[in-house]
Amino acid sequence: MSVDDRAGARAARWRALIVHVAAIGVLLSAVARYYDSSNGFTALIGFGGKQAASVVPAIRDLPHSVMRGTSGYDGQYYAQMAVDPLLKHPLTDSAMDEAPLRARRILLSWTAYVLGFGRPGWILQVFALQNVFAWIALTFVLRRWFAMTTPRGLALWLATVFSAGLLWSIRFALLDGPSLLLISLAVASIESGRRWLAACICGIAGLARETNVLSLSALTDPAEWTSARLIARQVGLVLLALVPLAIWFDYIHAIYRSEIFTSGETLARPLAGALWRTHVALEQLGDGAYKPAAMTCAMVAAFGTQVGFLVARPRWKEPWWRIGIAYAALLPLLGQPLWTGTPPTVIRVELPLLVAFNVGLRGVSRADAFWLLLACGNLSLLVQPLFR
Amino acid sequence: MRTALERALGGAAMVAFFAGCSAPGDAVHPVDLAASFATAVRRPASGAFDVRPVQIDGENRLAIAVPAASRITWRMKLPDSARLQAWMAAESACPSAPGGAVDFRIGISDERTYEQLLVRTISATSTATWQPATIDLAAYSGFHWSLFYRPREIAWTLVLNTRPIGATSAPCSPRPLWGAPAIDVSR
Repeated sequence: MSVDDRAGARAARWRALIVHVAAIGVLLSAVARYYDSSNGFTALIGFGGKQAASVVPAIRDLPHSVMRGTSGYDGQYYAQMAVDPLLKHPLTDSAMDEAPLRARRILLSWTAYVLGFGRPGWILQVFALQNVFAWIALTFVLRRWFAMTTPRGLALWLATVFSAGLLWSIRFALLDGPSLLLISLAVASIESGRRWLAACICGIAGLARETNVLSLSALTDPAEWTSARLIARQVGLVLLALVPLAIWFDYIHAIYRSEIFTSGETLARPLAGALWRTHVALEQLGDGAYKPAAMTCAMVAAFGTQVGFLVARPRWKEPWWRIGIAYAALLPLLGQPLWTGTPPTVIRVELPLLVAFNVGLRGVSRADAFWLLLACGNLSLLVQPLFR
Repeated sequence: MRTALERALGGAAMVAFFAGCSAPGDAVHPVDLAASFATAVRRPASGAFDVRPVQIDGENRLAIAVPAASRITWRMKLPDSARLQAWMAAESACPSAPGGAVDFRIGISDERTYEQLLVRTISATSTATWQPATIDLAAYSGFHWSLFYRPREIAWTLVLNTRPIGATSAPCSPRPLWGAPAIDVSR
């Protein structure tokens, strides 16, 4: 390597560092807008004024920010579970919209309880900020796949860390950002040859959100199904990853029994949710509401690009591809409630698909194709400007 | 090589696990709910409930006659392989002008989670018949492979609800009947 090359590489590393620090600074400054001296960061949780009467007693009298006149957002339920992490009190059920469904997703309530030392006031603050910590950690983990010393890598990294789903997860203290961190750590472990560690991480991720079990697809590599021993090993990995969720489901089954398998309308017949959203967009166009219609078109185009790209370029040996294809299979089954709102929940649930797509883009050699695909597959960036 | 202590600890853990999973409670016997009606909680408390033999369509059963809108609850542990058997009917209070219908609902609760087991709408006609219902309660009784779920140790609340359907003037509201409700054991 020549002196010029070394100097160029050093400059690129500095550029990457500056962009990384700047990105974290931008995010933190956006988060800081939600701080106030009396309520701390609880505005990030999204407690709804309409739910005030059912808030659990441990939180009711604590200072916390409330979105008046609204029903709030999902983070409020998980935050209340965090002060009763074993769900022992019936009042916790009353505070939920769908207690059995929320109970399945306990991990971030546990982490908030532990990091908040069991004190409700601290638990709330920790819960509000967990996504921020997870996002910062994710920015480092993602550098494993996105070389920030190149313009392409930098663009992929920025498109991923500022994706609509991740930002929305931070804005309302949801489960999807930390889930993506765990999935990314699991993939990093697999690529480093630490499969059993990856299985443990997948198992933990399953407790954050049940759809995270799709990350098990990263643990199972069809190319290794060459001997009974290797197959048995992969079966063992999958079983290990399912143990935490199985134990937790057994626990909450003792409380909610058959109700724990309720999915509301989150799962539907194939494409019902997407078609409904497209129909709504067409109606909005007819009514002259161009902006929401354009948002929907951007989102559908992004998903179409992501799925199309993964299907067109099968790479079974890559864990991210396997995860991406598993989430691509889930996408058409997601029902209407997950396609409602702007941005809709589907953008958060399908974050692993976005990362799989962006990681896959590294293999596109033609520059024009790369930038076009990057733009189309990340169109949902437009849906969530930084904490609108 | 495993030491004797390891083997002993392993054995003790197995015993503890299976004892925990299958700890037998006190022996619980089949229950005639109509005969034990005195122990039930009823709503409205001042409602007209009575237990009497009722003959419908040639079938005579000991029945609990309840107000059109009512709730009866029994709290009990269930025998292994339990099932609930009952017959339902709706008497017309005004035989000259029969009409209206009743929603019969059966549910079970552990004071935290309520699960609906049956919903059936029965019309009050002059040619009423007993409508049978058999509900498998195995999910709430006996041994289950679980670290945490011990249905034998739970005092379940069995809930029998009725609700009038449609507009019927009070004197002519249909009279719901729970015929011979009982918990028995499926073999």
